[in-house]
Amino acid sequence: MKRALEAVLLIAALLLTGSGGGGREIESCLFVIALAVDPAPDGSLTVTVKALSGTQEAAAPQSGEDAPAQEAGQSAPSAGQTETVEPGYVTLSATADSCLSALNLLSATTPRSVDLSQLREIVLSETLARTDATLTILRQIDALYEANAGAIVVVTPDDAGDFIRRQYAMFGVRLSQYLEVLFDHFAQLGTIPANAKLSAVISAMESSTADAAAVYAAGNAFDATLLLGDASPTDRLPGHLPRTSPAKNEYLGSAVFSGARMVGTLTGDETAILRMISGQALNTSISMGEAIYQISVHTRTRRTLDWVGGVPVLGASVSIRMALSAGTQQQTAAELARQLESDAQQLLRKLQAMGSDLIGYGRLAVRRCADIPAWEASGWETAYRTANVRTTARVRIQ
Amino acid sequence: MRMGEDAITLTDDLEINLRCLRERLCMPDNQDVLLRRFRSGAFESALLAIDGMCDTREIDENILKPCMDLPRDAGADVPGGERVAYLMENAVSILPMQMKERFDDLIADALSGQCVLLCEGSAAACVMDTRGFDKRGVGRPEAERVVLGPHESFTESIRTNITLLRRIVQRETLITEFVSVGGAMKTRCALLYLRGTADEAMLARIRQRLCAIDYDFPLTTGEIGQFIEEHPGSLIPQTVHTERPDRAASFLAEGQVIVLTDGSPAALGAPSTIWHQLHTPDDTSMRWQYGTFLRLIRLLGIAVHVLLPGIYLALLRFHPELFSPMLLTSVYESGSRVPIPVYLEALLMTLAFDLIGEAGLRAPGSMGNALGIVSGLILGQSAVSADIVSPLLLIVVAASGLGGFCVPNYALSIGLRIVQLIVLTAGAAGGLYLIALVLLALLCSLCRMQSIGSPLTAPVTPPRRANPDILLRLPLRRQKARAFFAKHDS
Amino acid sequence: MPNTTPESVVAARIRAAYRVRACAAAVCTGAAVFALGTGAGMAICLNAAWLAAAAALPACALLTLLAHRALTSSRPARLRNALLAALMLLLAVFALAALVSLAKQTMLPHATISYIARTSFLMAALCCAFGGAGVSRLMFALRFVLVLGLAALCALSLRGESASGLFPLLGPGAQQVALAALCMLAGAAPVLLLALPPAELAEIDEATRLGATPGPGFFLWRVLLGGAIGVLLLAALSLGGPYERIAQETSWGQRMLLARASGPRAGGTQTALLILQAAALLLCAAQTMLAGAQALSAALPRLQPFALPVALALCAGLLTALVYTGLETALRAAPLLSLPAAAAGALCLGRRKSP
Repeated sequence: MKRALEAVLLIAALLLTGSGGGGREIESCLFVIALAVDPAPDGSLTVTVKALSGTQEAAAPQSGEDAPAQEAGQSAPSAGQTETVEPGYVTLSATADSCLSALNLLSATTPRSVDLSQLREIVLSETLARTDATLTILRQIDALYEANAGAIVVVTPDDAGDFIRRQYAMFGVRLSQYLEVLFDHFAQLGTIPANAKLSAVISAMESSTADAAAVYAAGNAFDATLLLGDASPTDRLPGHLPRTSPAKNEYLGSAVFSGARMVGTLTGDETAILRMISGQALNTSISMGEAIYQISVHTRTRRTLDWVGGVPVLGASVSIRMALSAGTQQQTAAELARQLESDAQQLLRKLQAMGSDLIGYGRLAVRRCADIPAWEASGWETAYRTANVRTTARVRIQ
Repeated sequence: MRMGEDAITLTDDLEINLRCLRERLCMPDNQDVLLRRFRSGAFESALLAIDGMCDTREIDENILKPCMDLPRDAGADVPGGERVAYLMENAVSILPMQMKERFDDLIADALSGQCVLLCEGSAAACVMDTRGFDKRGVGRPEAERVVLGPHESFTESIRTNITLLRRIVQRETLITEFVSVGGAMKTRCALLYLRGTADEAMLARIRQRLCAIDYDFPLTTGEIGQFIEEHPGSLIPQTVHTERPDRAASFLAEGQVIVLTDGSPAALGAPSTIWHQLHTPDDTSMRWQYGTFLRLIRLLGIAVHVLLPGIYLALLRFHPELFSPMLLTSVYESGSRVPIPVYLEALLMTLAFDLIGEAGLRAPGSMGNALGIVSGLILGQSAVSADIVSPLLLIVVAASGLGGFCVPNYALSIGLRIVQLIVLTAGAAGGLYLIALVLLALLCSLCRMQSIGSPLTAPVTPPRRANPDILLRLPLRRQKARAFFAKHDS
Repeated sequence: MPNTTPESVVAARIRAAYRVRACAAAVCTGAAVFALGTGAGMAICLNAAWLAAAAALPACALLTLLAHRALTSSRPARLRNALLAALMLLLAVFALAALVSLAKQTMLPHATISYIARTSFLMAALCCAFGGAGVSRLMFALRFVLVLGLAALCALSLRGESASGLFPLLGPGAQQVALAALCMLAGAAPVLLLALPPAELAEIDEATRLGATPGPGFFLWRVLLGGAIGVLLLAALSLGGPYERIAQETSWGQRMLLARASGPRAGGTQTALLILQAAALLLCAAQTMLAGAQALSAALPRLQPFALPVALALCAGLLTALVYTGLETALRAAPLLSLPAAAAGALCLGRRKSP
């Protein structure tokens, strides 16, 4: 009986497990490296993707086949155009009511299944980011299982589709590799937020204890030397860097969110301070005065939340060791510490004004509450905006 | 007693005995049979042997000549039943001898190369070991090569093999039991064990299984192993074969039983565990650090052999997110040019690799060497150039094949090749999920298997006493216990 | 000098078999606690599911003592065995439902539910057909891999996350936590497979087996460890994100994802975690199916040659029904398993016959 049972099960396994598993040949997938979302004039969304083409030949340019339809103001979803891009990649766009519909439309018209497992970058138009639609869009992207939860969320004041069209890999590397190296490089510089990955941004947006920050980026179409003034090179927003970079896009600073909506921006230097206060400034550099300092690995930060007379006090304590890496040191360690305290206080005030808890003081506040109803009734959002701020800094220069 | 083909034992009458033997041995048609009557002192005697199987010079010098040189009245007053013994004491100078009475035994012994001496008036005959057939000398092992350690291997002669073992295990408790195995044509087997070390219950099981073999002609150790194993449908062998006397001796020391088969240059060790099939003598001969390192390399090779093609296919079809971007681009571009589905491609490449391996084994010497170059360079390169296969898949299959060469046990390597195909199919059908489930099912099957009543995966599971010599080979100084299947107080 | 009489060898074998069995019970308990926690617990009390799951630990301890009592009793107990059979088969179906949900949401999103269900069931059934000794021994061999592997991978993937995901500690409130704790009591049900002696000891006479059976402490710490690991995994899930994120995950399988991969190739970590989870659930399903068949043949001796096929057929039927009605049905029904578990546990009490 046992042998018979084994034989029956083996035969059944052979016959019944062969098909239905949903496997796909790799060439039937469209691997998206960069994805951009823009608002369309009629209230729908235009999704532009840059994907692997599967060949080293450049895609042939096509005229806009659906341009007459768009000019007529039709709101029907439309498939997009392909353009001449670097060899190995193709840029496609589609317009539909939602991000998911647009991706499905791309799958249907390509015809390949859109696969977001190699996604490196999600670029949102700032117009869109300043609405509540951001979270819905990001959730839809994240809900596709294969979506790479480590893709970086970027907000741009330009047209997001144009932003990724301008993007190309330099020095012969693949675009996906180039983007990874690029984001690592800027993370090392400390001028982009540390937790701008898709999963972290969604978590923060959904959470009532912290807020999200995305990378802020823009095209660098001209040399903005005339607009510089005396500000430090990184104490500004992208698109205004004081040199002409071979790359057409610049990544600098943070797009600050409060809940699901973008409420402001931080410059590169402000982002560096933010990282320092959040304890994410390991091995980064910071510009103070006319000097650039490299922060050592022994940075210690402490965030505290105290309640004095029922009023919260947001505390940030930073103790860092820095080494001068460029420029001339014109301040002593004590002066630098005072400047750091002042910069940190200004940043916290700015974030309070925007109503964005990027540092995550809410995570400390929630520990006072036993359960969720108590937390939701605690009025933390209001308390945060009116909280006092106390910053201390200790600097040692090597 | 009626004489004829159904006679069972010898009679007093030499003529009747000889007539019976002539009938049984199909004389005069069978011209290999030597049957010689002669006068030995006061009575008649006869010698039976098979031409080519016996050493005729030894027979002439140590049996015939001395017997025929006896005086004519020698043994006149010896009773008929003691005449054979008289000749053995006074004339014959051959050492190994046995007295037997049954025709079946005498004929079987004669056919194996021994010589039978019959005397008038005696209802018993003397069987003397005068084997002198041509046999292969002791050579080097073909399938179990080592760097350090002895380089002798078993031969087809059971006597030589026993001698090789006795040279290593010089203990009075090393017992050799001869067993005739089979149905119509019996094969001579020898059961060797260390009394006091091997478990009696296990020994009894092996004896019982050997005696129960009713296959007509179990020629080799491999065939005998198939009859005594518990799970004939399994892909994993439950006994271990070795062509090395040193390895067989280590099995004896652990309490295992060695079965030697006349005509087969391999020994069968039982019971065994899966770990026996993964270890090599080099592991023990070398220092523990080197032995452990080599063992881990070997295990890695086996894992690559079994899992790599299946995992590669699973990643391609179900989990491309696990590829690095550079690798994915390369695979994506090459995959777009290949016209056949990736599963068929992988299957063809794997089977081609197996075909090349088989062809290399069977092709005559010089051709076999060239085959690898031809197949690798021409077929592989051509296939890639023609976009029939993708280069990465070729590398995967080649790496997997190399890993297969790490399996020390040939029988196990064939079983693992089949497992590799199962894993490949599972990866193509259900991705890493189905591979995981199939592996769990295979491991369950492995864990429930037994070898002569001992669990195959012991002492890891179920836990049994063991030396620290399973996955890692720890220092010999720490290895003080006998294997768990040895006698409990050995 | 170790005692090496034949009697001591048999006693050592019996102890080894019980060790393997205890390990199997521990793995099944951990898997059940985790599956119930992600299924019912998180749906009710979000990030406080780990706290509710801790309530299952005293239940595990109690059932272990009761099961040990039944194990050392030679009284026939048909009713208890019949209840055990039903309980074990339902647990098996629950574990399979959890496995199918996990696989559908994570590893095989494009496959049909029916494909995943029949594949999972067939592999579990094959493991059962190979015999109880095989499944238990495999669980024993993989015990370190499962425990340490899950712990190590969790630690790696949660590196850098703050502990704030655990707060508020009581989640939606103490009432919800208490309700979830009641539901989680069913997570202790797999412990009752200890009431059935291991199949590989069937050849040994009962008196010898009873005499060599280890004390309750032998099983207790292992079972509690398994349950504690289930609780810790639920805590790790809570650490992986804020409670709002858990509220958003409406699918059972998605809730079982231990920490989202947060890097381009961190998917390897996540895939390894998923495979370990799937292995634990599959082995739990196979072990409980076998235990159900064993209890069935003890309850109905005439059914003995067909016990396993009947048990497999019942599980297949239930699983097929779940596939069509929705796997979430298993979640709604699972907390009710605490009732037959309590009844079977109560039936374990009674006069113990000495060996």
